[in-house]
Amino acid sequence: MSQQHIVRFISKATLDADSTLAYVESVSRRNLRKSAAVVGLGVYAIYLIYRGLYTLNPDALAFSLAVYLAEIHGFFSLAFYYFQIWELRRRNVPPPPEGVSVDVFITTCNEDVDLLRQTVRGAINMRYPHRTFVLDDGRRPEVRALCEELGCEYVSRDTNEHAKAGNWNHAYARTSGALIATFDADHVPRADFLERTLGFFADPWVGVVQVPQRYHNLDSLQHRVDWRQRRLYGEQDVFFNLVMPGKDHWNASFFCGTGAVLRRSALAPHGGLVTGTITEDMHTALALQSEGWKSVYLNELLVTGLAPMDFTSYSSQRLRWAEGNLKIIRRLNPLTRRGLTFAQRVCYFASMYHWTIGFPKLVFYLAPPLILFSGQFPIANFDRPFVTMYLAHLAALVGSYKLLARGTGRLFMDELFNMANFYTLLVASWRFLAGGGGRFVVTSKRGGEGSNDRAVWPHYAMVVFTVLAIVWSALGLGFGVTEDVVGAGIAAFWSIYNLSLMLVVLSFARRPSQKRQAVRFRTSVPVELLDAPANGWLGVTLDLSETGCTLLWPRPLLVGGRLRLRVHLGAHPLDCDADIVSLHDSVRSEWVAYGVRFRFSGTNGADRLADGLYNMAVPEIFTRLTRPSWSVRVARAAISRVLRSTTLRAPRYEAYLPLRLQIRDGGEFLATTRDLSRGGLSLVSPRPLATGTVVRLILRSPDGEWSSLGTVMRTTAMPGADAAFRAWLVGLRIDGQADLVGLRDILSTEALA
Amino acid sequence: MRATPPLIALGLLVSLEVGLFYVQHHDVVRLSGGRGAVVADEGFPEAARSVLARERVSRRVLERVADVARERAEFDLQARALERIVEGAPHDAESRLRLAQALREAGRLEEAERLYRTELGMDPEGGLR
Repeated sequence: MSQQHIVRFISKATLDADSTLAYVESVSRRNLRKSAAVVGLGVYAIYLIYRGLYTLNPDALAFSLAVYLAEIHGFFSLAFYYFQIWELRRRNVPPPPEGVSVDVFITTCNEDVDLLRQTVRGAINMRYPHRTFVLDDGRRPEVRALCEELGCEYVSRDTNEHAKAGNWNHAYARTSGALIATFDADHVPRADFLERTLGFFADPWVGVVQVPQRYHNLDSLQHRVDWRQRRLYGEQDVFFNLVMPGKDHWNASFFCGTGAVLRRSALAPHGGLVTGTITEDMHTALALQSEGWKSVYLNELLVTGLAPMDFTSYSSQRLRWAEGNLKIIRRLNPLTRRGLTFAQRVCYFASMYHWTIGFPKLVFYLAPPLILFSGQFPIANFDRPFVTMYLAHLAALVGSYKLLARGTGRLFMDELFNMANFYTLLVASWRFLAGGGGRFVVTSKRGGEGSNDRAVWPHYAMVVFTVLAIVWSALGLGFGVTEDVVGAGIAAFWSIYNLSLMLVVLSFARRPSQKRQAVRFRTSVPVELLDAPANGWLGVTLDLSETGCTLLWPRPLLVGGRLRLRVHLGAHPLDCDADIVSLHDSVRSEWVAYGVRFRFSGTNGADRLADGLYNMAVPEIFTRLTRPSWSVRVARAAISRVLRSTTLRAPRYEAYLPLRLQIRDGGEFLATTRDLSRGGLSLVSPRPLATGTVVRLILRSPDGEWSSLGTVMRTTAMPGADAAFRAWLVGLRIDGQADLVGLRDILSTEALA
Repeated sequence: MRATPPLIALGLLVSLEVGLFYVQHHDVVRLSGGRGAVVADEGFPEAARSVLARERVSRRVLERVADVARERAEFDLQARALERIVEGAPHDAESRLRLAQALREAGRLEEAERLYRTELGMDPEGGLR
């Protein structure tokens, strides 16, 4: 037993981290999902056996075998996936221990100082006592100056050996905190990050605590947002909402490079993070777990970062992940590494296997055009038994996938991103097989790299190949060279489906490069003009960023003019000068949207605005986009229908209106509505209001002033860690006969969409 | 307008492909014109022989070869086309009778007689008795 193991063994255990695990669902639901997984895999296996016995085409054996092997690959992919999400777990958060020394590492190389600034400020503002270190591999004087200004420590080195891991290890050797929290340059932690994560280290066997990586630039390449339906799709949602909680059940969740806390003593034998691959995170986690350390995954929104904005950055990030993860097999094969449990072996291997889908995807994308060109089918005996078997396997596959996805996965979108990634993953697999080495490339988060044709030429080539195949087949059928209309029809349908996915991917890749310097947060907060003539009028933001906003204002404003604004973001409004830089379309009647650029003197105003965005707007946006599961929605709709029929509850309409609230003690503040109904409304308030409180609500618009008394029916605290930016969702009943529904046209979800 | 150059390139490629298709399948394309034009086409026998030498060709094209060959009194070609049709649909009684007729007209009397006799021995359901 090593000395370090002895030290750990004799240390006083105050917690067993396993006791913090809790099931996410009831026993019956879990059993239902497990049954679905077994049935799905069983039917898939029977289908594959049938395929192997009866449908391999000896006239096109190589083609037939390629498609068959791709299907077998898909079976193992699905089996690994279902194994990982067999049980989902969440964590009960233990209180943080007192007096533990914590170092916070922020790694940077070439990121913008403006971007780094908010990360450093977020790190410094974490409440639990700690020391913050900025590890700058760019050796930039402006970063050193930033650290001096903000009051944290600057660390740099003479070389860039081992890239991010080397940078990290250099600081590791020069610091002494028992625990180390680590963030990438763009990942801004919430003030309570350490408070929520440190408690798990009371278990002396816990080596790493990881939280999910969420991204606040929802206009990134990997996000799709439907604001009207309140649906957010993130490409990594399946990983962070299903796979990681599932891995946590098997004690196999792993360190993802940022948004994590690591135990220094666990890393001591390695001198920090394990080097030798370009994905030091999983490599380190695998090494630690094989040495007996536990990992914890806490699925809470405690840090947000930036996702790649353009296709080139996105592809280079995925290539690094894929190449690095595959390369770990050569260094530290989870199947043979001593010290891992069976489940850990499967989970780690599954994470690596996932990156090999490039080859099977290539086969699936090439097969339909090849059929159209050659007239040869990979499947012999395309008869009724085969079609029955195929449809049964497809139904079992889709049904079990949807059931196990628990509302997270979207098959079409997943397939779209598989299409986007197929060539990158093909390159990664090829380099792995060829034994080539990759290099660490810092992912650009600001965008601006635009479209690089090298990243998308395979997609162009596939489009051309598919179009030519369809034309060739049509000519052949038209002139009578071939007469297999059914076969050609199936292949053409399959080709057109793939073609449509490819065109969507190309539209991602060709979209205009990001021009904005700052992320726009879709948040609606009240705005006042401080100039005297504007007294009494209120506007509302349609979006807000560190540098400006889109302001919806009920009166004409002069484009090019300068204003003095008061932005009500949290309990302490922010005053600043602003330029009206553009005029957007009129939303309704006199309400017009203007592009506004803030002009802060010094950094205080910008920093306060950023604090508000990360501590108030981000949690609120993610709360707004958290849609309940299908079953909950159906149940709620049914209850709502019953209540409506008994006039107990009127229909609600999402709308964002700036209101002035006056309370009886003479106080006055501003708030923004979230929804309206015939008899009431809900609003986001910077103050908690006790149930039963009577308030006067005033809305001034070009159509006139609307005013009414309302009674607070309920108040719910919204998620947020910073006391200065707390917000409450308040439900009010309107006293009197006011019909608010007509007001929704001023700023409804339709206007925002 | 950004999409125009790729679309032009794709259009050029499709045009090239159509050209390639013609080069590879000029015989089939030649037979696909209006019936009168194909009958009058002096190159018909060559195109028809080329089509008949193909491993795979649609019944529609074979029917066209048989019909045009009959009209041009090229019964040997007609018989070869009908033989290909019968190979693909051995229970098609009408095609078999047409083949027998074509064989007779082509002077291949023994084969025609054998086929007639076989046809007379077939039951109305299509199977051999």
